Amino acid sequence: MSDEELRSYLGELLGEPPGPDDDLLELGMDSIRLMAVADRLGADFADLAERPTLRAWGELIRG
Amino acid sequence: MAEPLTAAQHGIWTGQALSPGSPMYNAGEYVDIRGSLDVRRFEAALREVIGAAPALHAVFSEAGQVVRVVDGWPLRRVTVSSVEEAEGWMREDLEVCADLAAGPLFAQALIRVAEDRHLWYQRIHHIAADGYAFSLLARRVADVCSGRPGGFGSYGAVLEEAAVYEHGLAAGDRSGRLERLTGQRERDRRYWEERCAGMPAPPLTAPAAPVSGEVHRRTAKLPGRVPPEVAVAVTAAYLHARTGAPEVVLGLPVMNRLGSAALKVPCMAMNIVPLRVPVSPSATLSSLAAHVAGEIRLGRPHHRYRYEWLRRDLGLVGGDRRLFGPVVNVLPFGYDLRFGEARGTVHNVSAGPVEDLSIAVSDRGGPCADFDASAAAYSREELDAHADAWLSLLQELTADPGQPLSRAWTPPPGVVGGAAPAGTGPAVLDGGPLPVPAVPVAHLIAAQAAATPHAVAVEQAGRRLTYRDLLTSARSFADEIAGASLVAIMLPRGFDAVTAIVGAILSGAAYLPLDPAWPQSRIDGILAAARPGVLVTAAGVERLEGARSGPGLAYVMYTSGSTGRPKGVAVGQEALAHFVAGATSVYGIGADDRVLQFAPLHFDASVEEIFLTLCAGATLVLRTDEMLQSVGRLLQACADLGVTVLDLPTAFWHEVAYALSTGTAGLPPGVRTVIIGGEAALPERVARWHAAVRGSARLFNTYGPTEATVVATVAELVPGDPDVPIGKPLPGVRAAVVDGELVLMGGGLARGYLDAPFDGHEGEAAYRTGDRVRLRSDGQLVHLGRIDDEFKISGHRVDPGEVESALLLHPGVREAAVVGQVLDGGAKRLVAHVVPVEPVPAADLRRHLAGLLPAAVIPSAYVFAAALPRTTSGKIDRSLLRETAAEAAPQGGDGLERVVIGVWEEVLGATGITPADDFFQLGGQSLQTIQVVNRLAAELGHDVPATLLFRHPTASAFAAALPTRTPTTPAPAEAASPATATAESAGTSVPAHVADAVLPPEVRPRAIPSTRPPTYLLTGATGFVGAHLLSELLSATDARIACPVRAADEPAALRRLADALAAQDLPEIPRGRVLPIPADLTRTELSGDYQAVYHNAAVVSVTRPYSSMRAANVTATLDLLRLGVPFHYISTLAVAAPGPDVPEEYVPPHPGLRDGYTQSKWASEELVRQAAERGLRAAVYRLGRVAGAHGHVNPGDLFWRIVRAAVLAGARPDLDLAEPWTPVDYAARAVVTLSRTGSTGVHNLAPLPPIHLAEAMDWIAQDGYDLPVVPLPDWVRRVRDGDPESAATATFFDLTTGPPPAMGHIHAERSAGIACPPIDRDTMRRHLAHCRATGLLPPKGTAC
Repeated sequence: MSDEELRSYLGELLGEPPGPDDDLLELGMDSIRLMAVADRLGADFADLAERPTLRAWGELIRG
Repeated sequence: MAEPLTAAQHGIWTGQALSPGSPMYNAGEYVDIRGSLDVRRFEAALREVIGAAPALHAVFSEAGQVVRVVDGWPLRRVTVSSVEEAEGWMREDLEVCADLAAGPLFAQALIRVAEDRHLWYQRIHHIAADGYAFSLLARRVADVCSGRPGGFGSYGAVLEEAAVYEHGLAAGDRSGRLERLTGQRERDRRYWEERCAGMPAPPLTAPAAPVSGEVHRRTAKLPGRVPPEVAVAVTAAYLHARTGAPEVVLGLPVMNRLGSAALKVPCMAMNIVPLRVPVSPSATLSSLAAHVAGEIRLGRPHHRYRYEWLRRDLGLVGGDRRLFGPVVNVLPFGYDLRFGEARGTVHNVSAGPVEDLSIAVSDRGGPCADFDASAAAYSREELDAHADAWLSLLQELTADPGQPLSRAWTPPPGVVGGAAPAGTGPAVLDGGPLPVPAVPVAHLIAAQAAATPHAVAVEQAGRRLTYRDLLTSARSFADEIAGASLVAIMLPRGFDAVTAIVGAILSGAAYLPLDPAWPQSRIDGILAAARPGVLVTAAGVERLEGARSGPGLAYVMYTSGSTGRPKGVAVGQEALAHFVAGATSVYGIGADDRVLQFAPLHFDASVEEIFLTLCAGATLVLRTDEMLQSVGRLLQACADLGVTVLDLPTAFWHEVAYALSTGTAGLPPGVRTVIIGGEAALPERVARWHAAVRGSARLFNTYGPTEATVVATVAELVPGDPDVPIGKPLPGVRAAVVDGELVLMGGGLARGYLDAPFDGHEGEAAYRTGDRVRLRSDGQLVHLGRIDDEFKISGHRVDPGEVESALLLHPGVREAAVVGQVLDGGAKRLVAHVVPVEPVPAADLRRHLAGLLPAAVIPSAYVFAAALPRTTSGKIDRSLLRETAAEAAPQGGDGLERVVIGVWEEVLGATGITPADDFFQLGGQSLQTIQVVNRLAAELGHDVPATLLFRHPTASAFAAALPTRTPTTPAPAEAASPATATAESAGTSVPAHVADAVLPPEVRPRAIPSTRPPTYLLTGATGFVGAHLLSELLSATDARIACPVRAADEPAALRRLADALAAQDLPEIPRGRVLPIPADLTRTELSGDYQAVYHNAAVVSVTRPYSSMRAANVTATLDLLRLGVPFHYISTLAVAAPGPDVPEEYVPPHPGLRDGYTQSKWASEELVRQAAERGLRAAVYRLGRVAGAHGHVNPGDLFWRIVRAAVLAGARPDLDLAEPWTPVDYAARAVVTLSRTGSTGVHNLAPLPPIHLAEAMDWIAQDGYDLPVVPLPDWVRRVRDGDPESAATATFFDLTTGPPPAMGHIHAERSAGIACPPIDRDTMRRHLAHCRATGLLPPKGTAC
C-alpha cells in the first residue's frame, strides 16, 4: 500500500484524511478501527498503537 | 520485595476478598485450532510465552504482590468427541477458584476433538489478565509456533506507570517518560466528574440485584460488522424503548492500553467508563451513533481513571447504586491466528462477573454477539427475550439509520390486543411470593369472628357491630340468598350493605354493587347484562329470573366507563384472597387499626377497605355523607373517631394535602397510614403533604386497574423524591413494561370481563393496562400517563400532567386539567380547565406558562369552572372535558374583524382574541399563517396573500387591509414599499425602529464588580450561535457564565443548556461553571453583578414584522445595557449599509434595513453605540450567514429552508446572490478572543470570500441533488404548493422586493488574526449528510 493509498484508506476510516504527523488516536482511531487497520496492513496491533501517525505506519509497512 | 497492587488489580482483589471462594473472577477462552498442529512445538511455545508473562505468576496479599515464575505448571491434555463436550469440560473447570495468595492464577489445557482439531483452553484469574491480555498471549503463542519474532513489554514498567499515575512521581524520579502522568489522575477525575454532573440513575431492564457469579449467556451471529458506536447506540435505543428513560448510562469497557506501557504486556489493565446517551424518540441511529462516537473520543484520554474511584467520587458505592447500566463491549482482538500450518479462532467462554447485562460484540469467523446476564437479575428466558429484541432492533435500525427510533421499535410478538404472554416482556418486575398463603376471605373473616367475637367489626355514627354480630347476620343473609351465584346489592353505605357483602361471600356467591343513586336506565342495563340471581335493595331481597350461574367469583364491578360502554369486571375469589394476602402485609394493617370506609361501594377501593379490615380483625369505620362537607370536617371526624388508616381517592387527597399545607385543617394525630390511589398524584401536592405532615403518617401511593383486583403496585412516598412513583408490584403480582406500556400478570388478575375472559397465552393471562410507565433503576415504576391521553400538537408530544403541574404553580390556580381537543376542522388544540382561587385572566396564565413551557404545549384555550367534572369514581372526567367546548369569550370588532378573529381562533385554537391582538404574539407560526389565509380565502371567496398577515399582524389592521368582496380584480399587488410598512407600525412619520433607538439618559457605565472568578452574563445561550459562545467562554476563560433561559427552574434551565450544547456536539458543561437563570428576557429585568454581558439572544425571522420582534430584540438590549457593564453585542452584517465598501463602523438608518429583523438589530446596534459614547466599553460583532460546525445546520436558516424546499420541489431557483458566511465556531472564537482584548466598536466577522448561492447549489448538486434550475417565480409557485414549511419559505419571496443589493468589499481587518476554517464543497457535503441524518432532507435520489 502506498503512502497515498494509506492516507486515503485512513481518511475513509476516520472521516477526514490525516496529516503525516497527526495523532491518529486523537482523530478518532479507536481500538476497533485500529484492529481493522492491523488486519488490513498485516501489522501488529501493538506496533501500530505505539506510534499512531501516518508517517510511522508508512514506515512500519514498508518495514 | 512486594510491589504494590495497581488500582486495577486492587479492584479485583477486593472483589474476590468480598466473595471468598467464588469463581466469578475467572475468565476463560479457547482457541479453536483446525489443521495439523505440531503439539510438541505448541507446548514449547506455550511454556515460553507463559514464562514471559510475570503477571500470571504473581501472588497477591494485602501487603502487595510478588512474582514467582513457576515453570512446572501442568498442561492438561483432554480428549473429547465434540466441541460441546469440550465446552462442558471448560465450564466445569471455570468453577475452580484460584487462590490469589498462593497461585497458580491460571490453567492451561489442550483439548483434542479430532486429529485435525484442537482446542487450546486458558483459564486466568481476572487479576492477572483481561481480554486484551488473552489476545496478547494467544497471538504470541501463535507467533512463536510459526517462528515469528516478537516479545512482551515490561511488567515492571506497567507497575511503575500505575504507581506514578496513582500516587504521583516519587521525589527525585525525573524520567521524562512518566512525567506526563503527574497530575493526570486529577485531570481525569475532573473530566469524569464534569461528565457525570447531573447524571441520572442508569435505567435498567431489571431491578438492580447484587452481583453474583452466575451468568446466563446467549450467543448470536450478527448480520454484519458492528462498529462500537453503533453497538452502543443500538443498546441505548433499546434501553430507551424498554424503559422510556430520556437518558441512558452504559458501561464501556476500555482496553486502557493505547499510549501506555501495558500495550504489550499481558496483565489486568482494562477499565470501564460510563457513557451517557440522551435518547429521544425522534433520534435516529445516525444521530445517536454520531453522539456516541464523539463521547468515546472525548473520553479516550481519560480512560485510566478507575471506575471504582469514580463510583466513590459520585457517592455510588454500596447498595444497589449503579454507575452505569448494561455494558457494551466491542472487542478489537478477535482476529484469526496461525499456528504454523494450523489456523485458530478465539472463543470466549467466560468474561468474568456481570452486574446486569453485558453485550459483547466480536469477530470470530464472522461477527457475533455474546449476551451475558447476571442470573441474580434475569432468568434465562428474559435474557433470550432481550437478546432477540436487541438483535431485531439492530437489524431495523441499521437497515435505515436515518429513521426515527420510534418507528423502528416494535414490541415483541405476542404483546398485542389485550394480553401479553409471560416471558416476552423482558422487563418483568416480580412482587415476590405472597408472605402468607392466599386464604379465601370468607375463612379469614370467620376465623376473626371466632378469635375475637366481641371486637368491633363495623362502626357507624356511634353504632357498633361486633364480629359475632356481623357473622350472625351475614350467615342469615347467606341463607336468604342461597342458590344465587351473583347477588346485586343496591344499598347505601351502612351495616346492611356490609352484612350483605359479607353474607354473599360466605354463601360462595359473588356480589355486584349498584349505586342506588344511578339512573334507572343504567341500573336496568347492568342488571340485564350481569343477570344476578338476587337483587337486594332497602325494600328487601328479590329473586330475579334468568340468573347466570357459575361459581367462584368474589365480586363483579362495573368500571365507570371512561372509554365507551361500562364493562363488568369479574374478580375471582382466589384473586381477592391473593390481594388481601399481599396488601395486608405491605400496609401493615392489624387488629388495632380503625380504617375509614370512604369509597363508594360500587368501586373497588371499597373492596380494599372492607376486606383488608375485616380479614385483619380491625374495625371498619363507615363514613357518613355529613363528613364530606369539607376537608376540615372529614379530618375532624376522623380525629373524633380515632381513625388510624385513611384510604382516599387521590383527587380528594389532593384537597386534603392542600388544606393541610394552608393550615385550614390538621391531620388527626391517630392517623398513621394514608393510602391513596385512583389517579396520578401531583408532585406539587405530594411536596405540600410532606412539608405539612413531617413524617407523622406513612403515605402509600397505589396503582391498580379494577381488572387487577384493586391494587397492583404500591410505593411508599418519601420526601425528596422528584417523581411520584407508583412503586413495585404487590407480592404475588408481576408487571412488565412493554414498549413503555405497563402489562400486569400474576394471581391478582381478575378473571376477565363478564362473558369475556382476558386473552390467555400458554395458560397465563396478562392485562395490558393502557398506562404508560417508566422503570426506575431502583425498580420502582413511574406513571407517565394514559396511552389514550397522548396528544401531539405540531409534532410535540404533550404530557397533560406536565402542563397541569406548571399551571398549579400559578398562585391563582387551585385545580387544573389539560386535555387535547380535535376541532371539527381537524385543528388540534390544548384546552386548560382551571378552577381558580380567584378570578385570573387567561392571558396571565398564558404568560405564566410561557415562562415555563415550550410554546407548542401551552394551552390555547382556558375554561374556568368552580369544580372539575369527576367520574363516579372521583377521577377527573377527561373524556367529558374533551367534549366540553371552551366557551368563546365575547368578541369585539366589526364584521370583517369578527371573521378574522374567528379564523384565528380556529387556527390557533385560542379564545378571547381581541382586534388589538398580534397574530405572532399569540403564537402564530408559519404553518398557521398559511392556514389562516387558506381559510379566509374560502370564507371570503377570493385569494388572500399570506404577506398581508406579516405586514398587518393585528386583527384589526389585518381585517382593514383585507381586500373586500366587491372588487372582482385580484388583490392589489402587495408591493407596498418597506417605508410604508414601517411608518404604519409606528403610526408616525418616524419609523418605529428609529424612534426606539434612543438610549434613556439614566443608562450609564457603572463600576465593574471585582469578584473572582468573574461572572459573565450570556443571553441566547441555547441558540445556534449561543451554544458555541457558551462553549468558547467556558474553555477560553475561567469565568462563571450566567445564562438566562426560558425554563421552569434551574435544573430545567441547565438541562436546556446542556441539550443545546449536546445538539451541536459541543463538550459538556463543567460542573459549577454555569449559572442557569430561569427567566424570559422579554419579561424579566435581570439584575446581578456581572463583569460583562454577551448579548446574543434575538428572535430571528425573515418574515415577522418589526413590532412583533421589538420586545425580544430591542427592549431586551436596552434592559441589559442598563446593567452598565462591558457589553458585547452579537449582530448581523445585514445591518451594514450596502455599497462598494462595508466598513467596520456603526451606520445611520438606511433604506437597506428592509425587514423587521434587520431593523431590530440596527436599533440595538444604535443603542450600543450611544452607550459607548457615554463611556461604556461596548463592542458589536456582525455575523454573516452562520454556517454550522461539524456538519450541523440551523434548519431555520433561510439558506437551508431554500435548499429543503428545492429538494422537495425537485427544482432550484434561478437565483444568485453573494453573501458573507461566518462559520459558527469561528464566530464564537472571534467574539471571545476580541472581547478579552478589550476591543470596542464594530467588528465584521466575515473572514471568508462571499459564497454565491448558485455555487453552493452546485456543490449540493454534486452531492446527489441534481436539480434543474427554474425561473424564480416558477420556483416560488412550485414551492408554495409543497408542504407547509415550503409554503412558508415561499412566503419570504412574496414578501421581499427582490434580492438584497450585493455587498461590496466587507472590511474585516479587526478580526483578521483569528484562524477560520474554509467553507467549500467538503463542508457542504458534511452539512448534507447531517441534513439526511436528521431527516431535514430526504435521502439522495428520493426527490420527486
